[in-house]
Amino acid sequence: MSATFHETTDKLKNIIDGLDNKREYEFHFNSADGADVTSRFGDVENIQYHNDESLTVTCIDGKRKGVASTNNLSDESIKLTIDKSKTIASYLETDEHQGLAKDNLINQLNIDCDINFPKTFSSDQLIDMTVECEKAALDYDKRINNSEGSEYGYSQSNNLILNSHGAVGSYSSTSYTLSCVVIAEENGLKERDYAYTTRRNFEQTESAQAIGKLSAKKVISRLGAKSISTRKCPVILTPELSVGLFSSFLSAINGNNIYKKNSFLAEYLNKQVFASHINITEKPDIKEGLGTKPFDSEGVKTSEKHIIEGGVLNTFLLDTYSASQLKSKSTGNSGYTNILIESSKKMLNDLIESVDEGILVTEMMGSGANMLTGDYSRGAFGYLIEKGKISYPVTNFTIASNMIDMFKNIEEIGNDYYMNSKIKCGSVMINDMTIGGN
Amino acid sequence: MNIIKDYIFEENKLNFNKIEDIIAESSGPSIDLSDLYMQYTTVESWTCEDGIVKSGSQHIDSGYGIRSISNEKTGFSYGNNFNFDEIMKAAKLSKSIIKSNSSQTLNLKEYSDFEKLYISESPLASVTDDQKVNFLREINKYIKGKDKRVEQVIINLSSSFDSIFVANSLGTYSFDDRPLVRFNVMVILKSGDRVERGSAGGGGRYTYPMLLDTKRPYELADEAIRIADVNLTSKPCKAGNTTVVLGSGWPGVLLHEAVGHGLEGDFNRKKTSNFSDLIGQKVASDLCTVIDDGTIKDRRGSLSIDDEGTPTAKNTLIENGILKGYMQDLMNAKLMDVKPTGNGRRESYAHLPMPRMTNTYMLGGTSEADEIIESVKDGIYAVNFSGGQVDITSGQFVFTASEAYKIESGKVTNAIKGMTLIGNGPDVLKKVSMVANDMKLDDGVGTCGKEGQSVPVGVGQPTLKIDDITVGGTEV
Repeated sequence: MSATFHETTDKLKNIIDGLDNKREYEFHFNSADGADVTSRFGDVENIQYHNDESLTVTCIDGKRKGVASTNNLSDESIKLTIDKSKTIASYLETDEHQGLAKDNLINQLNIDCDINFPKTFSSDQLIDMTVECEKAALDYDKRINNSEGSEYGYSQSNNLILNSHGAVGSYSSTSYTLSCVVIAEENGLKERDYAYTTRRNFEQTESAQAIGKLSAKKVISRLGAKSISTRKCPVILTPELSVGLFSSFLSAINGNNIYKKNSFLAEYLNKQVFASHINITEKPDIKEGLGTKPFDSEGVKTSEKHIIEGGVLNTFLLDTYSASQLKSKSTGNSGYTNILIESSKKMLNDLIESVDEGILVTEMMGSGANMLTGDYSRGAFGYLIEKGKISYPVTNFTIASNMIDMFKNIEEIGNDYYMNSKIKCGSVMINDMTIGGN
Repeated sequence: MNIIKDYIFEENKLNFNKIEDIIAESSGPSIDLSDLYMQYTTVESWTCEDGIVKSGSQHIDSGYGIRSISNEKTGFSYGNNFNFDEIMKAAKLSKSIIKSNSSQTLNLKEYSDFEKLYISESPLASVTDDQKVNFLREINKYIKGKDKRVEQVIINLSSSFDSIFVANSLGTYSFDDRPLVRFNVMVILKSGDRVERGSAGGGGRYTYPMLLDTKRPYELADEAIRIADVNLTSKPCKAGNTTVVLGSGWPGVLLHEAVGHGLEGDFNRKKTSNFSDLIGQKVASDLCTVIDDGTIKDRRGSLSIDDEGTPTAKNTLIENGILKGYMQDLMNAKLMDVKPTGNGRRESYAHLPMPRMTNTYMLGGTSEADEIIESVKDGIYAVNFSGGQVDITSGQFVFTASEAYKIESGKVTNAIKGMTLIGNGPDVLKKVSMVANDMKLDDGVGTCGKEGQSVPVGVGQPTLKIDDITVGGTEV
């Protein structure tokens, strides 16, 4: 039965064209296949083969929206799924804001946006890469005495959108990911750390050696961590953690959180949110970009936009529904694409040198970012900075503030861009955070 | 009725002889264990927001996963198409991890003699869609009428019905049907220029009437309003080390994170856990006895059989402070030369099983809860948490409270906000200095994530006191 993506596209187009025109319909079809390999202590541990497909049908019947999905693409199952979406809609209450995307719709199949780089591997090739990666880590230092292994995964996925107002769009993409997790021990105390690389194009992934070594360096530098006393001081977040902070920002300006008043930034449109040197731009069409997409998940074309200019919030991120709630238009943001956080062009070392007493935070734990109030309080691991130099690793402390203050207190953004996320940003230095220690 | 037996087998012309062929194909002399897992799941969700029941969805996910294990190696393949030839191909692929072509024949026998811990009936069909919609409207009306400060109410009612079949090369197969219901309410209150949220929820392995026909949904709505109200008057929390009293019930999530994960068999076989090689040793204060129990009737974390077909059990993990055992699935039990404990769980057919918790809780002690509060001069009373995380290697954990208070001179005083607890699992367990006699399980809303796989779980504990733990907050 495993029909190709193109055959399924044709079949679904015929089906949606034949549906009644009293209601609105949207079909979203995804398929993906790939493999994952894990090796540990030089030998393969797991090989997993993936093969997924799923169809989601949305039916709008007189401003009532029903959704049904299935992963069985037989004719009968598709029919049942459409019927179920109609039945669900018929039981709901009218909501004047319901409706499918109508404007600025995509109208092109098989769009090439430079994110699809298929490659085939034998399982032995995958195993070799993971073995080499883990070996580079294990050989790095004797104190690395245990491992959770190295994992290689690749997948190719296909994405199709169709709706009764004429949205027709599809594209394919690939991703390649290599990671390594190792454990080091000193004086009976164990630490673990990891490194990884993920890219659209296999040729651009970092080498197995580099990832292995990086995971080793990171875990060794954690050994001998001390506790720290309670204080207020500046912190520098590594690029990886900065991505997390900016993703909280993007969630706070998502239209669905805004109209629900479930956001600390609900009243901040056209107001200063960040320090005036901060600019944040969405760029949907970066070659090999991890977030690159020609259309959003409703079939609306994506577009470049300046979300933050001079620290001021120019726009919320709106899908069709939240746009209607807020009496505005969809910004093509049922989801977001690549987000670029402009840097102040300084190296991480420059940032560290500018700090008299502070902490370089390299790991955060727990879910302490409150989207309603902006309150922020998370567990952390990092390195004490004294007189512009890293002095020793510190653990068992929390960092706390409110995101409104944190955004305004961002003093610098480094140029050490993180490449493993669709949010592209460097290290972030934030003044005046509360450190909770002993 | 089991959908796999009565529908999938029929439609795809499968029978037990063919299942034997599939297992035979995936096993062989150098394979320690192979198994086939088939699943058909239906999930629905209804949401009321802005006073309108505005969204409804239903998702059907079905497929099979087949794996072959040889020593520490696992080959795994899955698919959505139950066609016999497709499954045979997947069986070959999963066995390809071992470079051997020989297979073995076997006779499968049904294992069905386990205790059924929940009803074998779909919650989705247990009341009409109209009744679900009316129920949500009624709760919404109740909340809006109860407090004028209500800014936003979001109420969700959801359920799933999971039919599974598992057959393995040890020679048995089993069926299980798993209902799961969940109700959630979130309220935002506004007073002056402050807005705060409160949420509550409950559920378990039963059909809708067991929840909808009781006062429980109204009590949970009251609870959500109460928490939001408390938080409206909360003050910033002072950072530093202090004494913390944890309330009974849901705060057991701390136990789940700080101790539970470190006691899962896979981490201990690989010796990556903070609790590795410590069986028989003292890992907690004498007051601590910790249990993982998958056999409690109708509970969210319970299973009649785990996802490998092993009946679940009541396993003592820590007894009076001494580490007694780990939680195991078939593979890790074999490699560690111990018995499986019924903790082999997977998110779905598309995921590999691993040792996971079911309902994890600490047994009650002899103190009274009031007596514990009165014993604290200056500290914190934390009664609700919104989430947590643990590093099982260093034992480091972090928790964020959604409802907490100061304790001053033995009395609970003002509410505090933005409080985070941070500590080390084994260290904290050794600092448990008082345990009350009020053990309570949570309301049935827990979901545990591990290596990207989510499974429903339960937690619980009595009121207990921890001497000296690090607290994060904005005040110095």
